[in-house]
Amino acid sequence: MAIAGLLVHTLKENLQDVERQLDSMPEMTTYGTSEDQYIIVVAEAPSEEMEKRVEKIKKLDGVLTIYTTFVTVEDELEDE
Amino acid sequence: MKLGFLGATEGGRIGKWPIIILAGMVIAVVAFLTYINVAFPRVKCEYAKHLKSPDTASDCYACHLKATPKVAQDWYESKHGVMLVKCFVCHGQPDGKGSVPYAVNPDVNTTCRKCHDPSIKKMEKKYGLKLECNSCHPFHQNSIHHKAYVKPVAKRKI
Amino acid sequence: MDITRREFLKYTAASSAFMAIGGPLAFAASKDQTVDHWVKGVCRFCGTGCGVMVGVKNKKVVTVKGDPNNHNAGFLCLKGALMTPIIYAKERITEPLIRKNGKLVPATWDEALNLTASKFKEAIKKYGPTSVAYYGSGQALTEETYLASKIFKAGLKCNNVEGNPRLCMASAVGGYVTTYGKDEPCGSYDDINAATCFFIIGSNTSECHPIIFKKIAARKQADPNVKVIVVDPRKTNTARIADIHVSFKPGTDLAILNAMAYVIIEEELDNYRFHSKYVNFMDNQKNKRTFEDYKKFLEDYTPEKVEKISGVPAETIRKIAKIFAESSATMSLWTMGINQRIRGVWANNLISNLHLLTGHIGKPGATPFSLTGQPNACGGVRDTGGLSHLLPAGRLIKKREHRNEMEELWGLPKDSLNPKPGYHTVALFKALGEGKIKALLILCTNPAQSLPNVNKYRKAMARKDNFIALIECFRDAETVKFADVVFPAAFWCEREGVYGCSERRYSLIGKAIDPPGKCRPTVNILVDLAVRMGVDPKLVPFKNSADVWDEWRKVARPTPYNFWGITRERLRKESGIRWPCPTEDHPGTRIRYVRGEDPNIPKDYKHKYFFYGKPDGKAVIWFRPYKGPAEAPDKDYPFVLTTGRVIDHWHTGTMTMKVPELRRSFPNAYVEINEKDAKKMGIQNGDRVLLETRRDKMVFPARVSDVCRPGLVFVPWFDVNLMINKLTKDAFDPGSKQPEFKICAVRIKKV
Repeated sequence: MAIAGLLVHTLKENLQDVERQLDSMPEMTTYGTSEDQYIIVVAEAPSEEMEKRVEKIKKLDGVLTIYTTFVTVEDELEDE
Repeated sequence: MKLGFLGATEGGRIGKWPIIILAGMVIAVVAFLTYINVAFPRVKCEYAKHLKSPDTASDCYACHLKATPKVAQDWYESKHGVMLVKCFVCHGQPDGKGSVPYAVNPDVNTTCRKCHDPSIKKMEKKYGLKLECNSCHPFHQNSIHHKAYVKPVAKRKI
Repeated sequence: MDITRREFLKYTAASSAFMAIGGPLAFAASKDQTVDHWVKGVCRFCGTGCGVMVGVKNKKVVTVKGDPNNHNAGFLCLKGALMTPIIYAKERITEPLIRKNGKLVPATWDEALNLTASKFKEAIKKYGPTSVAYYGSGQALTEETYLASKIFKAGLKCNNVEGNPRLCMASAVGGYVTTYGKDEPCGSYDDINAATCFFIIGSNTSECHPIIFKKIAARKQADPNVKVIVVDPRKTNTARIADIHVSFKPGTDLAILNAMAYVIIEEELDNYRFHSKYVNFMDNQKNKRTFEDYKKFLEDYTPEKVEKISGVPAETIRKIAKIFAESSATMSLWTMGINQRIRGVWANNLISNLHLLTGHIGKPGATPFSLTGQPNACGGVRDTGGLSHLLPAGRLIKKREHRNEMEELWGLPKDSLNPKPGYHTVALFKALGEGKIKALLILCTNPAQSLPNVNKYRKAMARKDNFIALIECFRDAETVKFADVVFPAAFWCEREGVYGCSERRYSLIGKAIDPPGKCRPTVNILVDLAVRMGVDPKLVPFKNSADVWDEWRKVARPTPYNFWGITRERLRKESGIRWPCPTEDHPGTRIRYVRGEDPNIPKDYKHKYFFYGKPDGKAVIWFRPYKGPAEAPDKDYPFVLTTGRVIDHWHTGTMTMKVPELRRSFPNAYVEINEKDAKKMGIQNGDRVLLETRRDKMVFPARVSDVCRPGLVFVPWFDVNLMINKLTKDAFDPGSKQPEFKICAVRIKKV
């Protein structure tokens, strides 16, 4: 199980859309937005899948880029 | 019958096919190496140059044309290629002993700003912070091929 | 605590993301957190004259970027971008050196200055003022060259004041002066943005004037109808953006230019209105002729005849002539391929002829633009008169009125200046070799590597009966081997001063840091030396380069160079200003010789064009015949050897070799051979090839490519260990005295 803190940088007009889409994804938790262009997101996924999930968000319409600010992999969490 | 090492049968005799396959592989490797030496005379394993004597390490393009042909061709055809913004200007040198810090993905601030500061400042003012220039402007692309100097299209239009 | 490990980690992750935007993001350092402050300056290298911003942190230069407000809009080529390590090279000379028992040993400033001054005084006393000399540089500051020239011409009454622009721009000067009456281009870089046709001849712009090349390429990109014609026996990187690349037999370009004129007239594309009003036709004996005579003269240069001489198909000549003439604004650009020739002045004239014939001059985009090689050949040497036949601001030593003007400006008694011009560069070093020059001061140049047929002049410098004082920054410069005294100079941004680039733009190099060790700004070295040599201190009352600048402004004010409005304060505030600039509110001049653009022309002048350098205001189309090179290939030496630069290295490499990336990019010289020639001789890439001319021979590694045309080989001249100038010929243009570096005969052999 990997946990990553992400800063999603979007175009201003797409901010709400992207946030809604992220909310609809079970592995993503949004924690708020900033300056009309950033979304704080924490992604959880099995470690092998983490990259794919991040790439998936990158491809969303209106997303300029994603900054990964924190990543950790915890084996113990597998059981929760 | 469980095949042992080199397809040895229980009797210990080595089967015929694995030997043929192995011999074929050896011949193929030898043939390939011979071809390399003949087709590229005086060009030995260039890759080792990266690690060898520092003063030979600098003709990035010549070697990368073989090692990473697409990137090399992209660069050659790009504005940077025509303007002779050579590899080391942005990437430094792989042994890190140059004056430019070695980076596969150069830092925009220390690198791109040397020449593109006015444009970056303009973009910052207009669109807010943008970290990776190449999310819209591919560093190595922007082909001038065929129609000398067609106006480039940013990968994404804003 | 109720929080689960998972929740804890998620909060950590989220807060790291918050912190990323809460605090300044790495990128947000558009506040340039790595630099304390930026100092405006000019690049140390080529004549493009890009503005730079030098980044200083903790009193050290840490980076360089382009000046967004100068003509280069923030862009730099790879040399300019990587200048920082040069300043801190371990080869920097940081204290005066005196040669004792064959070795250079540290000395005090007093020792070094007194020794030098005494040698000069002794030579002047025993042999007269013509036994001493000064050899300066198009890379020295304007103030340094003006001062040195004044010290020698006014202080010591010695006209042996020369500089390396004699090797690089003298023919361009001669060309402009004979055609228009005044030196320096009439257009500017602004013309690039308006031109519809670029005629590039004798220039590998992409490697030698990269940012100018960038402007041309950008212009072509903006408007695909823009045509680029590149005329060069080598298919260089410049030719990549060319619509037509014309390769020709080296040395035959004069014939091609005349043939183009023939076609322009034959196709009736000449601008009769313009040339009948503003052009005099003069033959090679300086007789005034007519347009009909010109047509007759050109009958020797039909495309068919010139095809036989040059190897260029007649159809191609017709094509480029038509494009040149039919475009609405044609800009020519040329540099060493045209200048470093036995008839470089004529070649320059012939290019101007095409512009005068078609009227492509004085309009935005239409101009004959000579590219200057060095960063300050224009501002420093040409404009201040730092050559043996010149006085400041276009005045001539041989003209009494000009001498009297300068005597008055300099506070000298009337008719006290030496009326006889001094030695030109090749003659100077020849005289050194004959024992006629006893003391020589060299500033900011490396003649032991840069002179043609250099073995001869190295011998001259090595003579025991002369004394050579050198003002130099780098220990490993070849000329240091021949110096008796070396003065450590402040380098580039360690002192303030002006550079004047190709487009007549004077820009200020700001002082960013203090010089290391005991280095001093050259202006101070020169003043100190002059006073000790016995020069009247009233002639050199300068504490720094700003003082010299103010005097130079005054001296130029009564002439068409008038840049009185370019004060030091303006230079500091702005990013370069183009002269003429008569007042402080004048923005500078883009186009000369045209009413309304050139402040030297009264606003109510009755004609649009005024070539005020000529007595009747008209420019001249000269009937210049074709003349081939001094040493053409023959059966013993069947190849042509040409030399030149590569983008990575500047001149003799004393600076660029200090940058690891540039040194490794081209660690040594090579000989570039055409692939067909190489195949015939069994030469492959990397093979050792012996090059032999009538002067010397040397082995180079081969670089086989399709760049050189068959029969031509190219060797770059940056390598001190493979000094190609040992093989070149010192034949020079009888008018400009500029040597023919570009062509000599060579034979090659695989070894």
